[in-house]
Amino acid sequence: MTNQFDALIDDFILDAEERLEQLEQVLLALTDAVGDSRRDHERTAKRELHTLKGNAGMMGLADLQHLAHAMEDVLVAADGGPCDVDGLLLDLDRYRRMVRALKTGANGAPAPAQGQGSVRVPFAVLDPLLDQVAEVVIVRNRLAAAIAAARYAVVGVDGSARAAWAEATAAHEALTRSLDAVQEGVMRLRLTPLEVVLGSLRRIVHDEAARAEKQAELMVEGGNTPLDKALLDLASDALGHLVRNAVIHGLEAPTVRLRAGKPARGAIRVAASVRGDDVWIEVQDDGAGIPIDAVRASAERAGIAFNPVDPYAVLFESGVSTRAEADLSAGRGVGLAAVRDAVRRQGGDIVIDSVPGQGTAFRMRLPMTVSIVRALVVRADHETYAVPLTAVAESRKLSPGDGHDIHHRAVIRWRDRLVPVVDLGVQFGTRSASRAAGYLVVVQLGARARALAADVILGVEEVVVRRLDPMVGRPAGVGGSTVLGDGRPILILDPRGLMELAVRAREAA
Amino acid sequence: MTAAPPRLDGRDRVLAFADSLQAAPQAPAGATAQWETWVTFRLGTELYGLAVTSVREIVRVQAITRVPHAPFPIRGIVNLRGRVVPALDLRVRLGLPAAELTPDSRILVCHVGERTVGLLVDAAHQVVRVDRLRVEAPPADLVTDGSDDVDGVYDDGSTFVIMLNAEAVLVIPEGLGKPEANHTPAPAGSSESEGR
Repeated sequence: MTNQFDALIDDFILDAEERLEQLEQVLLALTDAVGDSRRDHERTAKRELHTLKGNAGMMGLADLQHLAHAMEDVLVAADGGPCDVDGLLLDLDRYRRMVRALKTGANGAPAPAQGQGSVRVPFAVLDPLLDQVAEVVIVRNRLAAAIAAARYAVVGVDGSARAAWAEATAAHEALTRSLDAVQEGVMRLRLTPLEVVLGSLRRIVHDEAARAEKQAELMVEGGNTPLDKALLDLASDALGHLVRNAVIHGLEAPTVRLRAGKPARGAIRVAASVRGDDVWIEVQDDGAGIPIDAVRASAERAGIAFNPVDPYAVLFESGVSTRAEADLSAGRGVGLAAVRDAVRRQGGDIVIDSVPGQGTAFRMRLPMTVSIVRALVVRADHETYAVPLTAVAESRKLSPGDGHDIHHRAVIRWRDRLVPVVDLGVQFGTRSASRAAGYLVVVQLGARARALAADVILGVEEVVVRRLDPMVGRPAGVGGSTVLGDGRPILILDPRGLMELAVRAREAA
Repeated sequence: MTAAPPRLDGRDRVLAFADSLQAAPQAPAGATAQWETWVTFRLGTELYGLAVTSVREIVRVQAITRVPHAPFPIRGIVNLRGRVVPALDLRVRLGLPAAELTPDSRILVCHVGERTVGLLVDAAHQVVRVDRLRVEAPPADLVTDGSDDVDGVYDDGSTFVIMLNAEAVLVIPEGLGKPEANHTPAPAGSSESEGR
C-alpha cells in the first residue's frame, strides 16, 4: 500500500509542479492584459487552481487544498476587475514550497531518486526511438546472416582472412550484448505500473454494485506490476469489463449470499503478477459460479460446439450468454468475445474457470512488453514463417513412416502422447497433401500440442513483431508479421490460433 | 503525351518534380484556374491519377509475401523501410485482371488517414499539374453504382486521365473478385520474392 501511495504522490508532485509553472505564467500575463485576453487568463488561472485544489484533496493534503481554494477566492472576488496579482504570486511560491516539501516524505526520508531528476518523455519522442532500436536489431540480424554466410568462404583459406572473420564474429557478439541491454532499457521506459489502471476499478465496482443493489468489495494485489504503456488501455478496458461482469453476473444478491452461508458482501479480487516475460492478471469473484449445464444450454442455443474438456471456453464466443435476459449494464454475449479478441491481438490470452457455488475466475495473460520475440524461423514450400519460441517444445526431423493416421488425420507420437500434425503448406494453401519428410516443430500451450510440419528449420532469430494491417484479413493461425535480415517480410504464426484450427479441421472431417 | 517521362523513383524526386511544376506556373486558363498536382500511372493501357498529397513515394516492386486467405485484391505484404504494409493490386481492386510483374511495375505508397498501403501499378508515369476546374465528372454509365472510386476524368488534350479517390480505393468492397481457392497448390515459390 505504501508503495502505491508513493507512486501516486510522485505523480501528484510532478503534476502540481507543471501546473504551478503554467499558473505562474498566466498570473504574470494577467498583470498587463485587458479585455478578452484578460478574461481568458483568468479562466485558465481558475481552472488550474481548481484542479490543484481537487488533486490535493484527493491526496488528503488539506493545507494545499485550502491554499488553492483561497487563491481561487481572490480571483473570483476580483470578477474581471483588478486583483492582487502580487499577492497571488506570493501564495503560489508558498504552494510550490509546500509541494517541494512533499518530496522528502513525512519521516524525513529522502524521496525516491525519481523525484530528484526525472523527466517526462512524451510517447511521441519515445516511440520513434523504439522504432530505431527495432531497426538496429534488424540490421544486426542482417550482419549475423552475412557473417554466417562468410563462414564457408574462410574454410581452408589463409590465416588473415580467418582472423578477420573471427574478429567480425567477436564484434557481432559484443554488439549483440550491448544491443540487448539497449533494447531492454528502452522497453523498460515504456513500462508503467498497473496501479494506474487498478484505481479506476474501484469506482466501477462501487457504481455497479449500487445499481444492482449488491454489496461488493474490491481487493487489489500487485499494483506495482509493470506493463507496457501500449497495453495499459487494453488492460483497462478488459479489466473494467471483467470487474463489471463479476458484480453483475458473478455476485449474488446479499440475501441469497446469506442463505448460502456466505457474507453478504461479495469479494472481487484483482491480482496481477509477473511470470517470466508475461503479466498475469486474475479477476476472481466469490459468487455463484457458472453451472456447466447453463453453459451447455447457451452454447446449444447459439449453435456452438460444446467442448467438455474446456467447457467455459464457449463463453468467449460471440452470442453466448448464460443469462436469459439482457440488461442495461452489459452488452449481452458480445463483451467477452471482444475482450478475448483484443487481448489475443496483442499476443495475450484469457481463460475462464468456475466452480459452481464458489465463484468464477478469469485469468488474463499479457506480454509485459510488446514488439520483440525470439522465434524459430522455418520454411515450408518456399514460404518462410516465424514460430514464437515460447511455444516451441521441440523440433525434430520428420521421416517417411513417422506419423500415424487416426481418423484420417495425421498424428505423431511425442512424449508418450499422440499429437496432431499441422502441415504448414496445407494450412496456408501451398500444397494439398501433408509432406512425408522434412522437420516437425512441436508447439505446446498448456495441455495442448501440435506438430507443425515444414521443409527446413532456418534458425532462431529475434524478430520485431509488426502488426498486420486489418486490410489483409485476419488469417487464422497468423499473429503478425516481421522483417527478416534480408528485408523480406514474413508471417509470425500464432500457436494458439493454429491449435484451434487443427481442432476445427478434425471436427469438420 | 510528351516524350519520355522522368523516372519516378523515390519520394524526393516526386516532390522535387512537383515543386518545379509549382515554381513555373502554367496558368493559361486565366483567373479561374485551380491547380492541383497529381501523380499519374498506368494500369493496362489507361492512365490513372492520384492527388500527390496522398502518395508518399513511388518504389520499385520488392519481395511481396503472400498472406493466406487474404481478400483477393491483396497481393500480400511488403516491407517499406521497416514498415510492413499491405500491397494492394490496384488492377484487381478496380476490376481488371491481376497485374503481371514487369520491370516497369511500381508500388505507390499511399498514406490516407492513419493507413499506409502500397498500390501495385503497371508503371508510374508522371507528376502533372491539373486544373481542377477542367476535371469532368465520370460518365455515369461507366462507373459502378454507388462507387466513389473515380473522382473525375481529365482530358489533357491527347489522352484521358482517370482521377481516383485515394480514400475510396483503399477500401475493399465486399465480395470483390474470387478469393484464392483454399487448397489449390500454388506453384513452387509462390511468394514473389527476389529471384522470381
